[in-house]
Amino acid sequence: MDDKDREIVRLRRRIAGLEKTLQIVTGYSGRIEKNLKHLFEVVSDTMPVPLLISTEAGEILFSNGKAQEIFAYSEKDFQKLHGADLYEHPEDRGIFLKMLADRGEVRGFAVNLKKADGSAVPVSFFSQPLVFEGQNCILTVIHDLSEIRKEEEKRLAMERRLRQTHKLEAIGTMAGGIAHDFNNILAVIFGRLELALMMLSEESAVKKHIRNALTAAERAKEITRQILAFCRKTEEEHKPFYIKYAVTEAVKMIKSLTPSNIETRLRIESKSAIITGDPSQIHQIVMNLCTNANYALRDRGGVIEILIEQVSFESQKKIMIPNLSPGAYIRLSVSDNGPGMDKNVLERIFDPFFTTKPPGEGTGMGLAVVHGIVQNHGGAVTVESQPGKGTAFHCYFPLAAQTEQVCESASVQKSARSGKEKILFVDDECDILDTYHQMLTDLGYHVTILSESYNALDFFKKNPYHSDLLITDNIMPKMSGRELAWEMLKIRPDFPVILITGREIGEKNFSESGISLILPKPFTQNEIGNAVRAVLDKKCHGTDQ
Amino acid sequence: MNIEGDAYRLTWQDNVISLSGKLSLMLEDYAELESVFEKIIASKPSNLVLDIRNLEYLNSSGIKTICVSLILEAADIEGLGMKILCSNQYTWQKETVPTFEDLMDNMEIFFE
Repeated sequence: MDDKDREIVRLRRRIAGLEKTLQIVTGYSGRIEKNLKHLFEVVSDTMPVPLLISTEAGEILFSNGKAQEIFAYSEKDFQKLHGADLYEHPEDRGIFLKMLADRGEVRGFAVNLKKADGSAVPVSFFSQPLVFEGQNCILTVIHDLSEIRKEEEKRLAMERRLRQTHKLEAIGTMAGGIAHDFNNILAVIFGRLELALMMLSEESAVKKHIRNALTAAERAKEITRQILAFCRKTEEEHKPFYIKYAVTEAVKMIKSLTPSNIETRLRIESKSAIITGDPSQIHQIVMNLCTNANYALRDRGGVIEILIEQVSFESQKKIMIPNLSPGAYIRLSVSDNGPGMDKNVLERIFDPFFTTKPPGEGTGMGLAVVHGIVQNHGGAVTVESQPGKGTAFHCYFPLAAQTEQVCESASVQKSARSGKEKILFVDDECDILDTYHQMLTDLGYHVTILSESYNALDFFKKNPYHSDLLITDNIMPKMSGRELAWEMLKIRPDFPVILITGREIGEKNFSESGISLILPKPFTQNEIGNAVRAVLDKKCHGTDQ
Repeated sequence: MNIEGDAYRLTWQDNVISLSGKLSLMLEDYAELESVFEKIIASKPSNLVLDIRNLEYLNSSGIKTICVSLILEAADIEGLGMKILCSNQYTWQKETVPTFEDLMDNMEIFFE
């Protein structure tokens, strides 16, 4: 074999080698391609966000599982769609393509897409151009904003509620101030009218007009009392109180808010029942239950009945209500003859945020709050209802006491309101000073009036035993009535003090300050006479009544 | 002789060519390796060892470069024996390197 032949052999061997190399490389590339495709499929189907690959012309070449799940299209459905079909407003696709062309990529393009059922879904696009299956394509990762929007709406709603709360607080503060001023004015009106009444003979025709004016003033007093009740601070109290007063007050308020086709009836079977807790929360229970009853009756009209009665459970076996022990309870029932509720609604009725009202008409918290309050009072709440047969809520509160004697002693006090003691009366409102000076003088008392708290303190310091009783307004410039009483009690700890005020005051704030009694303005001659007598007699007898 | 790339390393010492790291260059970028292989072949070694036990990845252009510029050239040298040392750890080696035996008669492939 010559060189030429050897070269031919070598070249043939090389050609064969190259052919085999080609096979090796092709096989290798095929495996790599297959692996990469598998990798892409695994990644795209594992990722928890929708992913689409489309051509600029609008053909959707690829959709991952999440895209199929969210938009409710199968892979084949997607392939039949045009890209613009996915947009709520198809013209948005043009804007998107222009942005992609201008910037080379798109990050955070917010748009509303359309699901197979036609509903819109807010999304944000993150897109890049790429070559897929030999074509110039656009890969788009879609960020579903539905949950974010819902959270955002929740946050905005919370902010709105917070603003509303702040607004209500501001209104409450303002209303409290207005009520205070009104009470001062009413105190003068009451006093002057009563004095005028006393000056007139029984035969006088003017007496009828004055009595009418007093009745009107009573109504005004009631309104300011309700405003003050509304402004009451929400700090929880825990004290014995007559449940009938809290319920009556709430019912009066609810009546003023109830349309004329709904009748509200209050029946008190247990008039002297005392429970322990927070009166303002009982007020809230009645408001919440009556508001719901009002809503149930809004279209058809009807009757809401509120009932307070005493019930007793003698043994555990007879109690069909969870969390109650044997004993005496006050049952506060609010019932209506509205459309009632079915079993499904009843099962969830006390769940927080559960409501059957349309969005914006109810928070779903009303009955949850009722449930919480009743439980905090050591009681239980039950509900009876059937479709077409109305609804009744029963709130059970442990009975703290029955106190018929309280009413009796009050009536005794009414007839023993005159006296001859010396009273120091301090108020920065000269009209009030003048009016009550005359009233108390008429009752036989010797009254020294002063309009400035500092002068009153000086007067007291010169002769601490000149007066038997201090009656002072609370809110005064320079030194409040409470501060004045405090200074005087430092000198004479047994000095009886009646604090008069046009504002709502938590009595517990004063329980340790030595103040004997708080008397809300406005008050009648009878009321101030009773208060004076009660405080002075208590001092004489040294007993707690 | 050594070549140090971004993600790979080649050494040539005592007839042993060691490749390690990841080799995923574009075809034209393999010219440097081809040049090294050319020098090795030109030195007419009596035997050759290609140690790729630490070569984690090699793309198709790299396969072509090793096959054509090293193995086929070595196959033309009469009496030259070649050994390839491989690792079972890398799937691509297990799937592809055994097919290199078709390119050269006097070749042995070892996996560990």
